Amino acid sequence: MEHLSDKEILDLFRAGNRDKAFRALVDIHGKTVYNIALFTLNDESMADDVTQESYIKIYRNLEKFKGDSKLSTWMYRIVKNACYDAAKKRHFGPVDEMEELDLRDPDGFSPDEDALIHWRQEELRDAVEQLPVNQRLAITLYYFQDKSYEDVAAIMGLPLNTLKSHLHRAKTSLAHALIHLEGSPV
Amino acid sequence: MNGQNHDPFDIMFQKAQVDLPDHLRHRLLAVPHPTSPVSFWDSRWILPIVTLIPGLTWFIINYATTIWRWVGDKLALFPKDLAIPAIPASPEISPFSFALVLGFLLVAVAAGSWLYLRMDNQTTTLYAQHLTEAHSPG
Repeated sequence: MEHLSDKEILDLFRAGNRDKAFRALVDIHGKTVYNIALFTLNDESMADDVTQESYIKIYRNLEKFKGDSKLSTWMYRIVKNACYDAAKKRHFGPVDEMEELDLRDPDGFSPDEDALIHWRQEELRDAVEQLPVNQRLAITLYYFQDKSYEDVAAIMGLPLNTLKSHLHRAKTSLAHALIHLEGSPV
Repeated sequence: MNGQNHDPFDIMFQKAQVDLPDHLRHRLLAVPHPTSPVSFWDSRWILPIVTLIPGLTWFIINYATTIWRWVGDKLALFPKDLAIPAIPASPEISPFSFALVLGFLLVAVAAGSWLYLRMDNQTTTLYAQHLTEAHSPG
């Protein structure tokens, strides 16, 4: 897979070689976009649709991208909005934080390596699904993108401290949910 | 990773990541294709136009004068103070001229269709493709 820089992709696209530019966007970001959608929505069919819808929007608007942010930040903002819209349409899970969460120390959750092997992705997805959508997006963007607070805050349109608070709450709730999952190996 | 390797969630999320499914990758890579410009000679729209032209021309040449006279007669029934432009009851227009004018109209319609196809092709094809994918078993 040829790894092109943002500038090379944009130059290719604007020069009319849209197929190649778009293919690069799918190769570089497709897996991450799909995983963000999958973990946020916990529904493979919806994740498919949200991923495709996001890429259509990306394709249609790439010409207008001005470079005010990183290309990936701009792309993931589109993905984030598509996930929000899909979550709202299906009315599953709170979109905003509406409930008081158990704020135990997430550092207390420390499964050993052997236990981690037995976690299946479905179990993690089920646990993530129990989070409010804001937190789901924050935690999936954080772990599936490049683990940069600044980038995730820019994608989410949140102040840095608010994002950190979302992440802290998400980790705490996730640890709580995983520990109490039926058949949990921890 | 900036020292975050010990974050248990990091390991869990990395392990839980799934690859982009092949069928979805195929769908995504199909996104740009419908935007290829529609050729001026694309049979999807040029054939109907080409086949219509002889028939329409024949119709126009045969009936243009009659139709024009009928329209003129009807309009001439209006009182003149309504300021409707007077149209001669027997217009001095040859079938050939009339066919020429309508020929230009046809070309304009054809050009409009072509531009419309060119602009709308992406949306319609993507929508059709989306429906196909959504209803395909695999």
